[in-house]
Amino acid sequence: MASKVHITVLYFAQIREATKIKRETFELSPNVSLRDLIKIIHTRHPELSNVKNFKTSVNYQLLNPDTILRDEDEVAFLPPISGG
Amino acid sequence: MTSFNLSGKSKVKKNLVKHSQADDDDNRILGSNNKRITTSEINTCEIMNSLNDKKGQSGATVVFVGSVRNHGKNGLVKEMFYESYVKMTEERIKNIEGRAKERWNIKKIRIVHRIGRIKLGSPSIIIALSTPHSKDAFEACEFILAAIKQEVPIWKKELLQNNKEEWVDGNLIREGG
Repeated sequence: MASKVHITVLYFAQIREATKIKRETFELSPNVSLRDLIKIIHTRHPELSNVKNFKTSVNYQLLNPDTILRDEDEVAFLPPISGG
Repeated sequence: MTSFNLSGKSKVKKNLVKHSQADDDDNRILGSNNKRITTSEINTCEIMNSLNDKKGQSGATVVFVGSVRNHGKNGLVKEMFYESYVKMTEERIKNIEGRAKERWNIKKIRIVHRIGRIKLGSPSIIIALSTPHSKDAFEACEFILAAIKQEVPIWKKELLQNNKEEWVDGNLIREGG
């Protein structure tokens, strides 16, 4: 049996406030995509169903949702930015 | 820790959040090699002085200082709260600096963004750079500010005079250059 992959997920700003947490770690089966993870997170946090406008990064890169996640990847949920 | 497979059960360990200040993770990162994000007041004089060029290679220094305004998109503001994905922000500002240096003849550059609660009139960001000629310095500074607004994961929340709090609706983050 293939080993699990461990993914850290970070939430920021409005999304952090909606989930009421800043980070959590998921232990997933191998070959799970970013898209799969987003579905899992929406199941865990139904309060995110109203949050449509966001991007996700994997290890600081904005990657395609079909990207397969690897062990120790860091995924972040990024609502619209407003720095400067 | 949340254990989860696509069919399965889960265990959860959550980090609850303090909303008002940079959190412990940020402070740990800020204490390392971070140069571009701070939770402290930005010392604009120190940064401007650091661009002094005794060899005279730079004929122009341009400094942009962004500060907290008393009116915003959601009403009258009494204070601003900035939040950042610190590690990604550091990388992205460094990348923007690199692209600016490729495009213009920048001799010295300092960019610092502050996070946490910031009072009215206090600086939230400084972009300071020097080039041989003024046109390049103005263009580079404008390019950098625009890139930060589009590519860097920083969020601001208006703490309003009516005691409400509203996140400022910005742009979806995009890849640079």
